[in-house]
Amino acid sequence: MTVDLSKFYSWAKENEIKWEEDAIEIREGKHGLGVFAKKDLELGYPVLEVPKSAILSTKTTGIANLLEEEGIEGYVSLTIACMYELSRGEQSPWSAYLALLTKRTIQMATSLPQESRDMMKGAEVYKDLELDLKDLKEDYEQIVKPFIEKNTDIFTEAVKKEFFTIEAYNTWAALVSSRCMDVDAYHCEAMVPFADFVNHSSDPSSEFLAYEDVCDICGEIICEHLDNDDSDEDDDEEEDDDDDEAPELEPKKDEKDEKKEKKEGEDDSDDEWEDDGDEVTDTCDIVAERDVKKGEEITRFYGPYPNKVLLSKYGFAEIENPHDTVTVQVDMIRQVAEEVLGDKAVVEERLEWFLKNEDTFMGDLDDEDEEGGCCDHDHADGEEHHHHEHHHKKKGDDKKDEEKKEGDEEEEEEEEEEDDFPRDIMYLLADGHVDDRLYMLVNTLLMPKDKFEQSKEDPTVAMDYFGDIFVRRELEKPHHEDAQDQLEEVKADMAPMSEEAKHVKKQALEMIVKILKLRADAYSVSDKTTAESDLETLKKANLSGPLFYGGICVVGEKAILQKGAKVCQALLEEL
Amino acid sequence: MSSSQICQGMDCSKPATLQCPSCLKLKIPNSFFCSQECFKKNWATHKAVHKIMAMTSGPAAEEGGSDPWPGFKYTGPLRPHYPLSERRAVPAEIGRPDYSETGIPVSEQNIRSSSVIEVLKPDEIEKMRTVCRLAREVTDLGIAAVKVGVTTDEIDRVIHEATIARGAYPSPLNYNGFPKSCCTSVNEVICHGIPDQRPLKDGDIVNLDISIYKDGFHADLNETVAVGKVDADGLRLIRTTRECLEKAIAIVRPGTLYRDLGNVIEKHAKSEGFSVVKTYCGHGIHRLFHCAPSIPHYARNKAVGVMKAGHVFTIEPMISEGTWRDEMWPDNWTAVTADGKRSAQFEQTMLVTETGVEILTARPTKA
Repeated sequence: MTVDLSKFYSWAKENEIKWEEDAIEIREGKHGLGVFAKKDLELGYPVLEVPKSAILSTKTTGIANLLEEEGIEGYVSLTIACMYELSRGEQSPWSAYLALLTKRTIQMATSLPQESRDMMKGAEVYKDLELDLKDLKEDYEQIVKPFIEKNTDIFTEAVKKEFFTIEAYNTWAALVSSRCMDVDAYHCEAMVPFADFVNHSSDPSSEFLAYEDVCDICGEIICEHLDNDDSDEDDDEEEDDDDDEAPELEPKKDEKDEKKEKKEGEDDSDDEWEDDGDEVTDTCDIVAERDVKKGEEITRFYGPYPNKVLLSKYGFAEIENPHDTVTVQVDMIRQVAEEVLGDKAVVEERLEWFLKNEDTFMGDLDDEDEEGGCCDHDHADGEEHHHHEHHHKKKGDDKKDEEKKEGDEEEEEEEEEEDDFPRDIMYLLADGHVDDRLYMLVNTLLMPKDKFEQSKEDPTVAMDYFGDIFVRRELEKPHHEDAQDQLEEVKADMAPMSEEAKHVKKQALEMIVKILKLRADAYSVSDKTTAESDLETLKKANLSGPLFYGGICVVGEKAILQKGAKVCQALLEEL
Repeated sequence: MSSSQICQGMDCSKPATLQCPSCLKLKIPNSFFCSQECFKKNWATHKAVHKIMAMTSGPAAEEGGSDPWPGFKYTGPLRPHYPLSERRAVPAEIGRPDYSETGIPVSEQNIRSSSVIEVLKPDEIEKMRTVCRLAREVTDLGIAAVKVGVTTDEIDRVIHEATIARGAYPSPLNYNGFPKSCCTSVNEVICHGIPDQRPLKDGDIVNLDISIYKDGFHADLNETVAVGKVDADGLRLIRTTRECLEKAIAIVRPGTLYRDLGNVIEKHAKSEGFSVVKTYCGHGIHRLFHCAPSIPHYARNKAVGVMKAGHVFTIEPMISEGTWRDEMWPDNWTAVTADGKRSAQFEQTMLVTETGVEILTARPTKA
C-alpha cells in the first residue's frame, strides 16, 4: 500500500519538526512504514528533531482539562485524546498526522479470532492477551463510556457513533500502545509524530533522546512553578527571567575602545540590546547511534522486552530475542522441591526464609557481576514494565495514586502491592540459564541443614555460602574476551570445589531440570520436536502478522526450555 | 583613567577591573566587581540598580534627546518619557494580592497543574461580577480622561484613584515588579506600556488596560481609543480589533475549545489585512490574576482545554497593522511591534454559562 505523505510532511514542517529532506524519508519497509536514510549518515547525525509543542499527549489535547478533572491517565487517556483529536477532523492541530495513522492501523494479536489465539496456548503470551482483551473491554466500559456520557457538549451522538465505538477504541488503543513514547515528566507517554515511524531493532542505528526532567506542572525546563524541584526563590517572571542569574562580567574597557565601538555603527549598538536569551526549543530527538548507509532503515531499540511484551504492546515478536524469558512460578518450584526433598515443612520454611531475605543477598550479587553485560534485573524490569501496563491508569504516574482513589473501579485481579517486582515469578533467560533469584532459591532449598540453621542466625554465613556458588557460576558463563583473562586469574586462585559442594550443585541442576520439565508440561510444550524444527515449520506455514509472531512466542519459549535442559545437561556432565 | 576601582560587592574592597554588562549598557558608572563569583553573590541586590536607573534616568524627548536606554534601537517613533512618577500608595485597609509587597505572585507559582481550569462556585461568580463591574467603571473613567496633551501618567493617576475609591487594589501595581497601576499602550506598543510623562498627541491610538482586585478576585479589561483625530486606517484597526473580540466571544459556550477562538480572531483580522500578535494570550482569571487556560489569539494554535460552565477568562486580541512580530523595550515590559506600525487591543473578562457567555466587564447598557 502506498501512502501519500506530502500532507504529513507539510504538516510536520508547519509544526517545526526538523529533518533534512534529502537525507531522511518515510517509506514502506519490511515492517510497514519506516524511516530510511537517503544518504550515508554519520554517528551523531540528528535524524529528527520534534519540538515538544508538536507532540500529542494528554497534556496537549484540547480536552486535557477534562481528562485531568476525571483523573484519567496513562494509555486510556492518551487513546481518548487521539480519538477526540481525530473526531475534530481538519480542525485538529494533528489532523494530518492522525489521518496518516488511520491509514496505517495495526493488527494486534488481540484482534485475532479465538481459535487463532488458541494456537498460542503453549506460550505465556496467551494469558497476557486474554488480560489485554479483558482490559480493553473494561477500560472502554468503565472509563471511556462514562467519560463521553458525561461530556455530551463535546461527544455528540454523531461523534460517538463515528469515533467512539468499542471497535474504534480497540484500533486506537493498539496504535497508542505500539507508537507512544515516554517523553518526559510532564507529557509522560505521548505520540511523537514522525519519531514514532522509527521501527524497532535489537541492533538499532539510532537513539531517542528527550530531556525528561522538566517541570511536571507546565512542562518547561525553566519556569517559576514552586513545586518544581529546582525553582529558585528569585522574583522575576518569564518576561524578565534573564535577570535570574548574574550575567558574565565584562573586562574593563579603555575609553578609546568604547568610542571605537560606538563608531562601528548601529549594528553594534543594536547587539547591545539584543535579547541574550535565545529561546530554547525543547525537542525530542532521534540521533544516529552509529554510521548509517544510504538506503538503510533507521531503527531504534524499544526496550529489553521479552516476546510476550513485544507482542502485546507492539504486535510483533523477535526470532531469537536475547531478552526473551520463560517465567516459572514459585509454586512450581515448591512442587518440585517437595517431591525431591520429601518434606513439606522444610520446603516451606526455606521458601519463606528466601523470600524474606533475598534482597540482602541479591544486592550483594549484583555488585559481583557488574561486568556480566546482561543483568538479570533488566529482565525483571522489562517484565515489571509489562505488568504495569495492565494497570494503565497508573502507568508512569505512581505518585498521583492517592488522587484518583475516588472514582476508580477496583482492580482486584492483580496484587496491588507496589513492590518493585512480582516476587512469585522467576525467570529462565534467553541463553538457557536460570536467573540469579531462581538459582539462589534452588540452592537455599538444597543447603545443608547445619548451614541453613546457621544462616538463620547469621546472614553472613549464607552470604559466604552463596558467594562461593555464584562466583563459580559466574566463571562458567561465557564472557567477553577482555574479561575472560581476569576471570581465569580468579579461577586459578580458587580452591577446587569440595565434594559436598559438587553434590549440592548436582542436586541443584537436577532440580532445575525437573522445574523445566514441570514448566514445559504446564504449557504442554512437547519435546518431540525441537524448537528449531518448529521454527522451520512455522516459517513454511506462511503466516503473517500477529499470528506469525504469536508462533514466534511459542517457539521462543520452547527454545529457552530446551536450551535450559541442555545447559543443565552439559554442566552435569562436567561434574 | 583610574586604574584603582574597588569591588562593589558587599564587604569586599578588593581592586576590581570587571564591569557589570547591564550597567555598561545603561551607562551606570563604577559598576566594578573583583570577580564573577563576587558579582554573582551580589547580583540579587545589584540588579535593583538597573531598574532604579532605568526609571529615573531621563527625561527623554521623542525623536532624539536623552534617552533612558541610549543605543537601543526603537522599532517606531515612540519613546519612553522618564522619569516615572513615584509609586502610588494604596490605603492600608484595601485588601492586597500576595505580590503587592514582594512583586512575586506566589499563588500563581504555586499551582499544581497547568491544565486544570477551575470551575467557579456561585458565590465566587458573584464576587467576580462585582469586581468586574467596578473595573468597567474605572475603565470608563480612564477613557474619559484621554485627551490630547494628557500624559499617560495622569491617566494612571485617574485610574489608580478610581480603583482605590472603590476599595480595590490596582492589580498591575508591583505585579512581577510592574511600576504602575494600569498599562497604557500607545500606537506601536502592543501591550504592557508603562504610564509615563509622554503627553498624548492628536492622532495617537492608546489602549488602557485596567485590572483591579477586590474581595479576593481580579477583573481585567482593556480598550483602545482614538486621541483627537485619528486617520482612517487607525480607526479601522480599532474597529476591526473590537470586532475580533466580539466574534470570539460569540462562540463562547460549554464545549467550545479554547484553541478555536484564535481561528475566529485571525480570520477576521486577516480579512482586513491585519495580523494577530502571538506572544501574548488571554488567560484564566479569578483569585489569580493570570492562570489556566492560556488563550492564544492566532489561528491553528494548540491551546489546551474545552469550555465548561463556570470558567472565567479573558479574551484580549492584539491586532497589528503590519507584522505580528513583537519586540520588548529594555524595561522588560513594553511590547512593541517589530515594524513600528500600530497595534490595537480589546479585552473583556467573561464567564461561561450553561447556555453561552456572560461578559462580566461589559459596559452597562444605558437606560
